[in-house]
Amino acid sequence: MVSVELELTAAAVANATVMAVLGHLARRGLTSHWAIQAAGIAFLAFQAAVSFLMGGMPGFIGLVASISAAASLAFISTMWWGTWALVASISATLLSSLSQLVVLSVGSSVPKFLIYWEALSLTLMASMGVAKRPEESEAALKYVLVCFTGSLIAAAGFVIGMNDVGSTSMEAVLSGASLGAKAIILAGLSAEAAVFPLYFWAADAYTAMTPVLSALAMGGVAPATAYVAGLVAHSAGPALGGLASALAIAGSLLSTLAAFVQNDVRRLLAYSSIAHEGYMFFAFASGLAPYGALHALGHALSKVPLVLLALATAEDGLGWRVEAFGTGNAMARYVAIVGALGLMGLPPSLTFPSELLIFTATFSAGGATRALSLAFIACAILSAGYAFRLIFARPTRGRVTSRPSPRIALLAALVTSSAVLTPAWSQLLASFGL
Amino acid sequence: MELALAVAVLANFVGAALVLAAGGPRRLAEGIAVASALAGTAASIALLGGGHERVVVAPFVSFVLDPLSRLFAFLANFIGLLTTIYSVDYMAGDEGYRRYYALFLTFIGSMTNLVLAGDVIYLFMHWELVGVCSALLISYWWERAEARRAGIKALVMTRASDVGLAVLVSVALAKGTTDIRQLADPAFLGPSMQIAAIAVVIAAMGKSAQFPFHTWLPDAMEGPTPVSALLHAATMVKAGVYLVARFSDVVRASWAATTTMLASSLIAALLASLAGTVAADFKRVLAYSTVSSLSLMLLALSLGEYVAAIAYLVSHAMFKSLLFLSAGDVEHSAHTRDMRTVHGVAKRGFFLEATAFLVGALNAAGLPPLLSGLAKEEALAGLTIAVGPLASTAIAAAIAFLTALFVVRAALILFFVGYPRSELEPHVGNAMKFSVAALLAATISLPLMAVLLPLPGLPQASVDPPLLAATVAGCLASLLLLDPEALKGARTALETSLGLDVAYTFIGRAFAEKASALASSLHRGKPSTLLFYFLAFLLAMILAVVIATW
Repeated sequence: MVSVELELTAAAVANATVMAVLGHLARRGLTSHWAIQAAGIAFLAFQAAVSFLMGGMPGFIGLVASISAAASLAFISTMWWGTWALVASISATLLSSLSQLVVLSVGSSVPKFLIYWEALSLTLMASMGVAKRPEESEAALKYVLVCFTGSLIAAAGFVIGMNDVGSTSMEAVLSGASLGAKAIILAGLSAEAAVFPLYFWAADAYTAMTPVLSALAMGGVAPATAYVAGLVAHSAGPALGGLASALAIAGSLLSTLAAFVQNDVRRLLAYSSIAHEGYMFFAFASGLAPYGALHALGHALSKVPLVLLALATAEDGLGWRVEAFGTGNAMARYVAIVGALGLMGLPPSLTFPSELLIFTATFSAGGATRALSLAFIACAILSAGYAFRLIFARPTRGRVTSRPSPRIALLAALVTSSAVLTPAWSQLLASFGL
Repeated sequence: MELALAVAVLANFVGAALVLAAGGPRRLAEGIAVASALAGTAASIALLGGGHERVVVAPFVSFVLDPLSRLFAFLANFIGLLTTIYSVDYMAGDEGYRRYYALFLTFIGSMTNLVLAGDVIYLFMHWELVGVCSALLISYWWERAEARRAGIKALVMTRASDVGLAVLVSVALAKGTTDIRQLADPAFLGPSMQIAAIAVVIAAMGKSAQFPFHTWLPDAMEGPTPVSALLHAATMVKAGVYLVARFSDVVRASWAATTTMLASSLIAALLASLAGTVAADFKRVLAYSTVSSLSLMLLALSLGEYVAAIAYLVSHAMFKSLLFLSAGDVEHSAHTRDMRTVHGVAKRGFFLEATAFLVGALNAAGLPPLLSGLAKEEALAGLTIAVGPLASTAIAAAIAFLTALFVVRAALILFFVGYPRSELEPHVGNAMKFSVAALLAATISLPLMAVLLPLPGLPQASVDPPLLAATVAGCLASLLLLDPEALKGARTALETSLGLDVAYTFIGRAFAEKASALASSLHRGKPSTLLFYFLAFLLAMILAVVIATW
């Protein structure tokens, strides 16, 4: 495991360096941006291959992150190229690798985990400044105030925990630290995982970030943070874990309701992502890591195409209004409809088996967890309130009918892959040893 | 057998994918749709003969072949084929035909997989998928607000009841198996039997539009008429009946489940019949008739009248889709469904439609010796055990009277009473006529079909005099209400199920507007205020931990 971490870290750093150098050469006209994208895609392919070989939760999360990042990179390559694109491309590969490294490091030492966690946090914050817009700065400020403070508090909790067990091993701390230490760690990490009431930063951040990176943040980074925070919640025992789960479901419910009234499709998708991150946290905190992971993949295969489709719709001149979402051509409509079904946990999306399995397992647990399972399913039903707005979109003035482009075809392939994987969900988990 | 099963399971999905992916002219898409439906129908006919088999394809993907599943698969594909053919002319002017046929074929494929499923998770996946197709087809013309609302309403209401099926899956996983045959055995379920039975009934109540989940079905008539005929009359709404029939031993073993189903179906039958008597929209009249008919099927199953339930189901699939398609011919030509403006159309050349609708209406009224009549009598006869002879007679007579009244009334008003607008002419294509004629032939030959199909038995050929009298009285009473505006004062109250639908709408709006506005407002705040919240939250958590560990 240690060597895989080092390999992945070295590969990520090397890739970022190569991309930066290529970017410098491209500015001088010595190469093109395609070389930069090729380097990025090659790294992500390497990450995906490593993920398959590695298996387990780190492998699965790595796969989710690499798919999300690859889609983002592919989209960047079709857009106007500038410094922002180079920075976004490098950020995408770093976010993808760090998401996996954070999960990997849960099996090693606390200092290493905290280093990766902070690196992920810093990269996410840097991603909020790519396009240099005022709203990005505000979002970054909010993120710093909540999440960096949270990281400091989590670090304090880890220090107490290491003192309790006399070891820097993550496993020892999570299993043997005092309840107080775990509570402080959980409170700190929950900020990054956007658990209620510490989720205020997320909607602004996801909305303000350049869409190619917010897609990755929602699809690839969020599962990693939810997993780690959920793992801590699960290790903290039924009382604290149950409280954390209740807060996560409360956040999902509030986010789902907030999404109803959004007119900007980016913000609607942002609230939807917060809700789904709550579902993942609920699964991880309830000891249902495989189902949470399955939901992460299903969510990514729906959310990433939807966010990128919103970008494509805006570039078609139809703006960011929900009413105009994905109305450019028939293939875009297909992506919008199938993606929206995924947000509701309906077939043919992979989120159907994941939400069903999360519900059935938590319902069977009885007690307070059963009540939470019913609240969880109520959220899923209520999500129709915003998801159908994406399905029923049609612009009221000016309609652009464009031919389906290769990048829309890519998005269609992503949502279709979710449908293809749905009947084989059990084999998919088994192939990763989950 | 394997080939027939594979074709039945996959043909319509492949067709849907081809319709979406293949370019070319409109006729190609229509040809693919009809060919896929035809292949599915042929395969389902090939599956009709045979006993009990289980086919396992992959983990959590298996099929069960028995008379019940074979029969339902045939019905789904046969009616699906005729309504697909009908759609060729009905949707001729519509630009979104690729989306339409893709959804239509996906529905037929899902319905087939649902009834053939041998694994409860696989069944649930297709259960939800038929709901998705239903919602998207109801709201097919989504530029209309009524269609959008109806689609969302259908999905939300059915998903709410689908929690029942999710609970059944939970029970299954707790028992360590998802094999439907094992789960349908009360002895295997043991103490979990009660919760499983109630879960099945709750799931069935939503999909089959029973009280209190019945209000979505009349609104679903916003969709194209072939959709109403296939999904909301002949097949999808019968998924609930199928589920109860599949788990009939479990349901019957639970007093709570059978009583719930009995009460739900009786209330739904009464409310639907009253609403159908005052409705002015002829498709909504048929929707109310469907609710009433589904009530009868579930009532029969709750009383243990399995043979009567299935016989009535087969009969209903034929005559109800016949009613919808023949009414659809009128709607397609007149561009309205309001009987106050379109009536007496038989005088304008709708001869086939008039004949077909009348045959369908008489079947809906349930006049013996029609198969529907015999099945109805046998089903209602079982009420005696549940509620006593006097109450049973009163309830049965009321249901028979009202059902006959409103359906025959609709037939008379739409086709025979008054004079139609002078400019009304039949605009009915050959495909539409073919489908109506084929269903008419199938409905008339129901007794023969009943012998050929794998029915569990046939209702006894007996006639209950009070019931017969009530049915005839209902038919005759319709002659007193031939004015489409009759009883209009009660229309709003009865069509909203005495205000229940108004309450649902109020709750839906409260969430969509007030709760969501409040939730949205909670997200705004300055960073400093957020930091304060964070620290306060941390303090509260620490205090909670300290108190818990004190």
